[in-house]
Formats: sequence, C-alpha cells, structure tokens
Amino acid sequence: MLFRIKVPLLTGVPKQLYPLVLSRSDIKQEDFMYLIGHALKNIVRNRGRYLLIGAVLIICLASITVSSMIHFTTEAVIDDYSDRFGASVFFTPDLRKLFTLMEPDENGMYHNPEITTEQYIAFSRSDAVKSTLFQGSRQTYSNQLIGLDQGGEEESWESGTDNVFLTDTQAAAHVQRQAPNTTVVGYSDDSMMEDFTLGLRELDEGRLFAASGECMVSRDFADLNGLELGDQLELQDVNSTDVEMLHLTICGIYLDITTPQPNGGNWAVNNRRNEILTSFSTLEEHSNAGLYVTAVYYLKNPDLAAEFESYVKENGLHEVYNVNVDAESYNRVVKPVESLKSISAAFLAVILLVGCLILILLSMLGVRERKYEIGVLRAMGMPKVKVAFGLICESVCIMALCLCIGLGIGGLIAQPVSDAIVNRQAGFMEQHPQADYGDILSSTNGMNETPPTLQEVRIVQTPESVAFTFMISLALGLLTNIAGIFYITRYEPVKILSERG
Amino acid sequence: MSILHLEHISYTYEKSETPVLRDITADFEAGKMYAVIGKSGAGKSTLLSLVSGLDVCREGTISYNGENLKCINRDRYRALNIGVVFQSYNLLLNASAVENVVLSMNLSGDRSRGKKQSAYRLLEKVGIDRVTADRKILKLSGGEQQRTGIARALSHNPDILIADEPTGNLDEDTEEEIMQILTSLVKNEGCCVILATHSHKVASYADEVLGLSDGRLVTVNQRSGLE
Repeated sequence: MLFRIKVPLLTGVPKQLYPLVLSRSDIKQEDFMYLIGHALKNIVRNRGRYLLIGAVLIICLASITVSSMIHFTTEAVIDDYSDRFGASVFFTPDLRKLFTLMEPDENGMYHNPEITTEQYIAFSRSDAVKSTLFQGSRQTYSNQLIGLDQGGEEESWESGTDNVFLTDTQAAAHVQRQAPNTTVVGYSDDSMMEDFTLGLRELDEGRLFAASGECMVSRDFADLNGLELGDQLELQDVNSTDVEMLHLTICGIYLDITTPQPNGGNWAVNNRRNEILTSFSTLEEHSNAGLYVTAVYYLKNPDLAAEFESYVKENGLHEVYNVNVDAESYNRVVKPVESLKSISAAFLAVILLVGCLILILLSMLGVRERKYEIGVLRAMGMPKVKVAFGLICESVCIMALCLCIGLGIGGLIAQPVSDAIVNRQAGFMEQHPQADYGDILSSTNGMNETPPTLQEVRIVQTPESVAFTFMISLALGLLTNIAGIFYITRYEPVKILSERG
Repeated sequence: MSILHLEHISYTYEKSETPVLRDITADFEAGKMYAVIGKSGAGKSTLLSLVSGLDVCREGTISYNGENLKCINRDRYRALNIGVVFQSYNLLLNASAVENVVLSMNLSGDRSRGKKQSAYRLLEKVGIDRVTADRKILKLSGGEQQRTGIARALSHNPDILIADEPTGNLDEDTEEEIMQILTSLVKNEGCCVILATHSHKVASYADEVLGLSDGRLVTVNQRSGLE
C-alpha cells in the first residue's frame, strides 16, 4: 500500500516547499510506521530540547484553553442573555414635556397623549426589535356576574378620578358608563403571567388558555358566581359601550393566594380575584377600542435604541414620550461578561504572540542541531519528504501530549481564573454603576423578567473551545519545526553539513 | 569495467569565481581502491561530494553504471549504491552506534527483524564490541566513531565506498586498522573504494592514486607520487 504524495497545483506554494510537494518519493506503509517510530525515538533522544519546547507548549496551550473556554462560554452567555432577556424598551411620559406640549382640560388636568393599540403593534415591526410582549386589559361589566368587592363604587365612579395620567379617550369615557365589575387581562406570552411563576397564583382546575376566546377566572370569582369550566361569559366593555359583547369560555380556574389588600374603597376592579385572564390576541381580535395596552419591546442590542426611537417617532409616538432602554439590566449581566470575553481575547492574543515568539526562537536555536541531524539523514539517503514527515511526526506527537496536558490544566484553572476576573469586574461595576451606560435613562418595567445579577460565569469545556485549542496547537506544533523544515529542506545535504559549523 | 564515470566535471562554489574543479574526467572500477590526494582546499572533498551525490555538478556528467546521476534519484543512490565515510563522522549524536547502523539499513529498505544483530556483527567486524555499540555516539572516542561511520557506510553493501579523510582524526594504530578494513573490503567484497587523504601512508594502500591540483585531476604514478 502506498501513501503517494500527489503533486498539487503549485499556485501559491512557496518555492521552498517544492521539494516536499514535488518529491517523487512514495511513503510506503512500512516507511510510514518506521518514520513514526523513528520520530518517537528521536523525541526520546532529544528529550532535553523537547522538554523545553513541551513546557512552553503546555503553558501556551493551558492558557489558550482557559482563554478559549472563557471566550466561548461568555459568547454563549451573551447569546443566551440576548435570547432570554434582550434589552427591554418602554415608553414613559416626560412630565416637563407633558406640561409644555399638552394643554390641560377644563379641570386643569393633563392627559397623556394616547398610544393606540395599532401603534403599539406597529412599533413592534421595527428591525431593531427582537421580540415584543403585549399586555392588554379591558374593564368590563356583566349584569349576570357579581364581582368580588362589588358595590359602593357607583357613587364615586361617576364623580371622576384623580388619575391625571389617563389618556384622552380614557378621560373622555369617565362619564356615562357602567361601573366595571371585572377586568379582562390579556397576555401575549405565558411567561408574562409572573404571578403564576412567583407562586401567587396557581391553576386550580382546568388548564391555561390556549385557543382564542378561552379564559381563566379565579376560584373565588367562580364560586361567587357559580361558574364552572366550559361556562360562557358575556362581558361589556365599560369604556366602549358601542363595541359588541366580549364572549369568553372558561377553560381554567386559578387560585389566587394573595391576601386581599384594602384599597381605599370596595371596588371590584381593584380586586385581583376579579381578573379574567385570556390571551392578548383574544382581546385584540375582539376590538382595539377601549383596550388599554402596554408593551415591552426587546431590542436585539441596547445600541439600537436610537434606531428604534426614530422608528417609533416616525410611526406616531408623541413627543411627550421618552423611549427608555433598560440598559441597566442588560449591562449588569452583559457588560461584565463582555469584559470577560475581551480580557480572554486579549489574553489569548498575548499568549499566542509570546508563545509563537518563544517557539520560533526555540526553533531557530534548534535549527543548528536540526540542521546537523537532517544533514546526516539526507546524506544517508533519506528523502526530503521523509525528513519533513519525520519532523512533523515529532511535532504532532509532542503537540498531542502537550495538548492533553494543556487541556487538562486549562480545564482545571479556567473556572478560578474566570471567577477572579468576574469578581474584579463586579467590584468595578459596583464602584462605577453608571460606567458605560451612556446617556440613556435606566429603569425597569414590571413586565420585564428580571435578569440575574452576574456573580459567576460557569465556564465549561465546549467542543468549540477544544477544536479551537486543537487548531492552535497544530499551528504551534508546526511552528516548532517550521524553521527547520523551511530552512533545511531546500539545500543539498553537503551544504547543510558544511553550514552546521 | 567502470562503475563510476566522470566526464568533464567542473565546479564553482556560489559567490566564488574560481572553479574548484576543472574539466575532470575519470573512471572508477569495482574491486579497486582509489586515493585522491592534494593540498587542503584542492577540491578533494568537493569531488567526493559530487561523486557521492551529496551535491550536484553544474558542468559535466557523473554516471553510475552508465546512468547520469542527474537523472536518477540521488536519495536512492546514496541509500543503496554508495556508502560515505566522513572525516567528521556525521553520525547521529543522540543515537547509539548500533542505532546509527540500523538507521542506515532502514533507509536502504531493509525491514528484516534481524538487522540489529547484523548491525552488531558489522560493528564487531570493524572493532566495535556490543557494549560499545550500545553507547551513545558522544560517548565514543574518535576512532570508535570513525569505525561506526565505516560500519554504517557498509551496512547496505554498497558498490562504492567513499571516504573523505577517513583516518584524518585517528592515531596511527587506528589508522592502520581502518585501512585494513577498507583493503579487505576491496579484496573480498569487490567494492570500489574512493578515499581522499593528505596522508601518503594512507594513499599507499590504494591501487591508484589521483592527484588534484589547481582543480585538475591527474593520475599519479603511485611510487613517484608518494615520493
């Protein structure tokens, strides 16, 4: 069996390598085994030099392992964070602008400019937006149902409200309407129902809403009204009486375990147990009129805030509103990780640079010794290709050994190194809480899932990091002998021997 | 019958304008010992390098058994057809004497299991016992290293043995022993031995003495040449 060295296209092949690629020598299988055996023996014979090279390689590869593990893990953490949290954006009225740009009503009240449901939905179409969470609520009334704490609000309901931040439509609808005894709340995503994840509510019977028109009611509300699974509810929007009745089917009953809070009056709308939960699409499909919507937009990156702001302003968001990015949450998690990633990348670059320089130096120093050895082998009739193959075999063997040790050591020290960097970074963030936050105001929104504060990055050995370290090790391995191969194989044996000094 | 034929060989080193060898034509036959004598820098080693395929001549042709060296695989030629004994030994320093010989056998394509024993026998033949044969080259004396070099050169039964100052670093007794080995090789094995030397005593073992002067090769009457 022959391992024939094919003559490749010579375009781009350095002239020095012609002897290697053009050699007519075939490496037979027995030669192959012999050369590997010879390489192993040569390593043992030259153990002094290889111990030195091995030590450098182990240090380099262990450091590269640490760097690559941190790099790939932090990259995954950032991606994971972006997938799970993104950078949330929400609109808050600027009081100064509100009082400057808006006119008070006859009662001297300032009202927020309305953001319509259509606008909320239109804003979500911005290219900067990764995902959007919508929550809608509609205050409804049904004369067939009794809300918990219902009664007594009729008097005060007609007399207005103290809420100065109601929208124009909401303010206009304050009069001549039936007092609501239920609130229908719609969610665009199950994850938004934090009460369930926090354990404040739990499913008592049936299941979560899924199809359009399905809803859940509280156990207390169901018991009070004698409701069961499958019952139909007919609800009238109290703010838009011209809208047809909202028909919902009970698919689940939840248990609210919170303690009822005194709220300054027995109002049914203020009792959580009167909330009827359904999907946002159910509310939206029914009608946008009278629907109170809040939305949280998750940007692909906090840096896209300006792009998003110009988009929403172009699509009708009133000047009164500020577009706020929850950069704090993003930065709290991502910035330290990004710093960790940057540090690991810089560390990797330095190690590679220093490692390469040392290996090249060792290689250059070893050239004289190698020259003699190769000169002798060539004088004895060993073809250049076999000499080069033997050198590469030695490198590969050394590299394989050093790679195993380097991966092991790197795997052991990666976590402590990462912890040290993270702790230092966390300390810095505590001392400079606004560092790198830019000019954008930071605040949080109740709809946003709160990202955990970074305390530790669990560094893991990923296939990518192993592959990366392996590729680097191959390159370094070649470096250990490349000078010898390049320098020596292009000369006739007599010149190599005569130049060895 | 000429085993090696040199025809109009000229050679000039790079960065030099003066040719080391000028228009050399010679024939070398099997079963004969040739000595090339001349002053230092006369071009003896250069001539042997060309003949042994360690370097390539730019002018003229060297033919081995009728085949131009430029047209054959010179690696194979060195591994199979010739043996070279260097003045500075050129052995693998980190290997033992026997490993050097076995390596040469391997390069000639010998994959037999008993080659290490053959190497020991060959080394014994040139005066290296087993204990010495297992020592690293650096731990051997100059004479032992030269004997190892000879054993290595003979390990693949070459047709031609080329020796560049084979006894240059050796004492008289060792020189005598080495020359006996080479003489025996010529007489008993029918090998063609070409050696370069300063020593007239060494040259006296040769069947034919060639003088190298001003880059030109002349056949020297042995007796008169040595006088």
